[in-house]
Amino acid sequence: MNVFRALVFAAATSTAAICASAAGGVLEKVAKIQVDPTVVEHPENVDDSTAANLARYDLRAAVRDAHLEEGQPADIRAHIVLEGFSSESRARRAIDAGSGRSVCTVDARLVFEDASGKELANIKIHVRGSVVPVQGDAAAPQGRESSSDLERRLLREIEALK
Amino acid sequence: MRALVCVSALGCLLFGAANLAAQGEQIFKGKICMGPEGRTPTTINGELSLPCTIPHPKRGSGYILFNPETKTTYQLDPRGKAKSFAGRRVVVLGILDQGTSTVHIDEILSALPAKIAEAKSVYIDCDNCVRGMAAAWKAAFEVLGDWGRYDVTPDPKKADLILLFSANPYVGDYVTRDGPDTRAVKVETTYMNVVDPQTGADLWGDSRRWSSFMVAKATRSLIEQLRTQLALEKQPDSQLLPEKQHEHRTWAPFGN
Repeated sequence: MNVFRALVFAAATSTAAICASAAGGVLEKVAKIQVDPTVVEHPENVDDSTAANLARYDLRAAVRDAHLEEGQPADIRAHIVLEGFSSESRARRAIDAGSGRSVCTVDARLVFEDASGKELANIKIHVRGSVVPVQGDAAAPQGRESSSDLERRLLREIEALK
Repeated sequence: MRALVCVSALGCLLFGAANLAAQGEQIFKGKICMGPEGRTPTTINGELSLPCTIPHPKRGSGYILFNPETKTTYQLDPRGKAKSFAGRRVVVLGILDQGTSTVHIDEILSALPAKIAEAKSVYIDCDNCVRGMAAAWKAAFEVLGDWGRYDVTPDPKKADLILLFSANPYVGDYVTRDGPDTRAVKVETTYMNVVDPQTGADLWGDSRRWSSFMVAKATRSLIEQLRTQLALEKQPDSQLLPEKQHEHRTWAPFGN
C-alpha cells in the first residue's frame, strides 16, 4: 500500500514539475506586455465583426488587472487567436431582453511570444459568458466596477503564468 | 406708382433670394457677442475680444459673431438661436448674405474644447448601465472601432477622455464620487458626456430621448454627432460645406 502511495506521489510530483516547466514562470519577472491584434483563423466561425477587437480589449483589461503594464515595445507580446465566436441566439436574446446581459461562446488560444517571436505559451480558452464589461458584476476584479467573463478567464491564465 | 414700388420690391426680394441661393452653406467660427455691429474689440490677455456680456443691452441690439483671428463680425439671424450661446465660442453653419454681412443660421454649436481634438485615447464608461442601457457600451465600442480616431483603452487612468454613457444627466462628479451612480434608472434618455478624467469637467455632452429600445442607436447617433462636429471644426473659417455633409446629417443639434 505504501509503495502504491509512493508511486502515486512520484507520478503527481513529476506531472506537476513537467506542467510547471512548460507554462509556469513565463511571466514571472515580466512587468510590461505588448498586446497585439487578435488573429482570426477562420472568419466563417466568427459571427460578430467586433469580436476580434473585443477579445483584444478584454486581454488588455486582463493584463491591467494582473498589475502588468500594457504597451509597446515590450519583451513579451501577447495575442489571442480567435477560433470561434458565436453570439447568443435570437431566442436567447429575447429571453435576456432587458437584463443587460449578453452571452457569447468564445473558442480561442492565448499566445505569449518573446520579442523574437518565439512562442512561450499557448493556452486553450473556452468561455461561455459575457465579453462586454457588465457593470455591478460581483466577480469583477477588485477596484473595478465592471468586467466580462472572458476578461476574468484571461486574468486567471495570466496569473497562472506568473 | 404703386405698381412700380411693388415690382421693385418683388425684384429686390427675388434678387436677394437668388443671391442667397447662389451661395452654399458655410462654416463660421467665433464668439457670440452682443451687437451692434461695428463695436470696437478690445485686447484681453493679449487676445482681441469683444466684451460679450452686457447687463442691460439697448433695445434693438442683436447678437453678432466675432472672429478674433480674422477680426470679422457678422450679424446673426434669427437672433433667438444665438441668445443661449452668448459669450461662448461657437461654430455656426449658415448662409452668408454678403450685402448685409448677416449669417442666416442653420445650426449653431458650442465649439469643442481643445482637449477633445487633441485626445488620443478614450475609456468607455457606461454608468449604472442596467437593463436596456447595457447596449450602450458595445454600440460605443463598435462605432469608435469603425471611426478609428481614438484608442479605446480599458484603463481609465491612462485615457485622455472618458466617454460616459448614462440614463441620468451627468452632475460633474466623475472624479469625486466613490462608486457607480446610485440614482434610480429609468431608461428613457441616453446621455453621452465627454469627461475630463483629471478634473471630472464635462467637456461636451448631449442626449437622445429615444426610449430603452433605441439605446444602441442613440449611442451611435451621439458619437456620430461628436465626430461630425470634430470634422467641422477642422475646416477653416468661411469654408463652404459640401452639400452631402449637410444632407446626411443625422442629428438634431437643437434638441431631440
